[in-house]
This record gives sequence, C-alpha cells and structure tokens, in this order.
Amino acid sequence: MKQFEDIREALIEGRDEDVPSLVSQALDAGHPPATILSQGLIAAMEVVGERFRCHDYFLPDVLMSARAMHAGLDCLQPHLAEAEIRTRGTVIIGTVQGDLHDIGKNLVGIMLQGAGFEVIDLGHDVSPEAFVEAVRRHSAGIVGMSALLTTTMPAMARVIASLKAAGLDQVKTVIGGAPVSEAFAREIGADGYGYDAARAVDLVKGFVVP
Amino acid sequence: MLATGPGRLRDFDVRGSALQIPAPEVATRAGCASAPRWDAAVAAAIEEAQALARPRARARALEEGELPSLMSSDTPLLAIARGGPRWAIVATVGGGPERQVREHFESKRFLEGLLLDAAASVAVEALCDLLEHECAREVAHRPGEARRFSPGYCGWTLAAQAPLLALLEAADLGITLEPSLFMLPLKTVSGLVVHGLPHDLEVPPQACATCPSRRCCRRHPHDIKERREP
Repeated sequence: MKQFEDIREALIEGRDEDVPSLVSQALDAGHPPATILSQGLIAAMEVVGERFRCHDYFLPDVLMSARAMHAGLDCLQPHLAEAEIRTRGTVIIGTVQGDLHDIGKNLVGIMLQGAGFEVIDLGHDVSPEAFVEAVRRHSAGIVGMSALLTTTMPAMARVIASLKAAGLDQVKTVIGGAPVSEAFAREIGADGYGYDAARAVDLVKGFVVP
Repeated sequence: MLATGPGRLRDFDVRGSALQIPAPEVATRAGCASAPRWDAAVAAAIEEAQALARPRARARALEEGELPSLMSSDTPLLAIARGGPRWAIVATVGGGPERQVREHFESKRFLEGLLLDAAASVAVEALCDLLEHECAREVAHRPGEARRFSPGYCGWTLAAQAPLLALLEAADLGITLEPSLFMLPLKTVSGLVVHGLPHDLEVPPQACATCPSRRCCRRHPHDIKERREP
C-alpha cells in the first residue's frame, strides 16, 4: 500500500519531519492505528535493523530513523491508546545501582521501541527494589540491565536475586555493558547477554516469540 | 611546561576550544567510522564538545617509593612503572558535556547525544595526550617515549583511583570518586604516565587477562581472539 510505503521510506531515510504528516494521512484515510504501527513504523525499523546488522547502516542512521519513529509514534499514540492496542511487550531497562553511565542503555531502549516494545527506562543508579517495583507496576516480562564498571556488575546479580525473591522468576533478564560477558551472564543466572544494542534487541525479541 | 618535581602538583590549563579532537576517533566511538555522510554531524559534535568543555588537568611526579600506595606487588604494570620517570595524572573536561548529552537524549536528539558523548570522551583523551606530552618534555634529554596507563585496565585495579586522586588532590579540580569507583565528572581520566624505551613500556600478556577493554591497541593477539564476541 502506497501510504505505508511512504511512511516506511521516510522512516528508513530518517526524515523525522515527514513521518508525522504521513502517519496523519494514513489515519485520515481510515487505516487502523495498529496497522500503521505494524506495517509502517515497525516494518520500517525492521529494515533499519537489518541494514544495521549487515553494516549498510551505521549507528547514527539507526538513531535518525529512531527519531523519525518517535515522531510518528507521538502522532499515533493517542489513537493506539484509544483502541487499546497492545505493544509487543513491556521491557524495564536501567543502569544498575552505583553506576551512572547510560548511553548504552539509552541505545538499547531506543532500538527496543523501534522494534515495537514498550520501554520503561528507570534511568541510572537503579536499585534492585526499583527494578522489582517497576516489573510489578507495569506487568513487565523482561528486564534489561546495564553496567559499565566491574565494580557495579555485582548489582546485576542482586537484581536477579531480588526478582526471584519477589516470586518473579518468569521475568527474563538481559544484561550488557563493556565489562559484562556471556560467562558472567551465565554465572549470575541472567537469561541473555547483549554484546551490543542490536544483539540485546534480538534477544528480547526471542523471548516473546511464541 | 609542567616542571613537576616529586610531590609537587602542577596544573595544566587549556581552553576547550584549544582541544584537538580528532574526527576519525569520534566517528569510531560513535559507530560511524568510514561513513563520510556523517562527517558534518561529527564536526558539529566536536564543536559542541569544545564549547562545553572546561578542561582541568594536573600532574605530579612520583618517586618509585610511592608506587606501593598505587599498585600491589602482583600488579602486572608495576615493573613498567618502576622502570622510568613517572607521573600521576588526572584530567577532566568537566560536567558540561555529560549534562548536554542527557539533555539531547531527553529531547529525542539521539544522534546529537551519541556524537557529543563520543566527542567528549575523545576530548578528555586529547587532554591526556597534552598532559602526557608535557610530562615527556620534562625528560626530553632521555631517550624513549611517554605512555599512560589507567586503573581498571592492564590488570591495574580500579581501586587505585582513590590513592591516585588523593595524591593529586583532585577534589580541588572538582573531581570526586563515587563508592562504586567511578569518577565524577564522568568524562575524567586518571592514571600514570611512564617514560621509557618502547620495549620497556610493553604491557605483559598477563595484564590483558583481566582487562575488560575490547578494543585496546595494546591487547595481545591471543587475548583478542579469546574475547571476540560470542
């Protein structure tokens, strides 16, 4: 459909000034908000993600497209809420207690939103209790944690332990950050290790595939 | 010229606009090396970083006898540090860039946030390069070169930041250490500059074993292979 093609093209090219008007046009034409979201915005971000994985796109390209996606989402959001459209899932993300670095975590959040997830970003220096509380409040199924220093990595284990202690064993956990490794993820019982933002998103997608 | 005798603190002041921030390094850190279409955005981020940076840097020449307060006897770098003239250093570009990075992300200017963060990281390294150069000038009569090492890398414990910052009286520069051992402002680097012959400054293989840095030019080839992404 031409209107969806136009949305996808604008988003893939990172034209954030064009996406809202194209989304409005699609709404005016009577297309359901959920279809605009899935066949326009999310489908375009899938292409962007694929190009990134193939090294055709660089991180700035992804971020420009993500900004365009946000512009489109801002326009679509009231209609999605009205129609009670559900997202692909809710992911709680945060930089763990004691750590203030949040660029990597921000990138993961932006890419997760691009993949159609609702992202609750708790910011940095997030305590295990705050992660647990957010999971409960938002009925989230996935928690993503970031740490940049070896000294703050142990806080990831404390979050996982707190989730288990709170009876939230079913919640999937993904960890990432410069000093983190696959081995460390296994050691602390995390469900996945995101080597980079794209891998983290792939992991999260894998958790929600039926 | 620093002219840092043992125990004497020497400040090195430079304007943000004078910091040479190499665009290729910024692009590499931002994940867009070899992508000329982002050159203008990278250049804009560099200008922004220079405008926001409030560089402060300090060095202090160290006696060999002061090293035990910074490194335990099993630290792989100890032999290097003992080998030649050495200085404790700390450098920061201040908190301005990181505040603006947050502001960019909160305003959904993701690209600007990413590039400014990268430019600020390269800026503080550029400041360290200047500091390293000044240290080397003090011993210009000796053959060799200066090289810097930081806690958290090369098998040197991150905990060494505390005595380093104390030696440098870094609180005067507005630099503090959090309980989890990261420095504030975030764009701050501390470490040791050591002068010696290149061979004597070579990092021993065991120094790479516990180092989290994935993209270090000094990393030993066997270790790069082991640490490649899964």
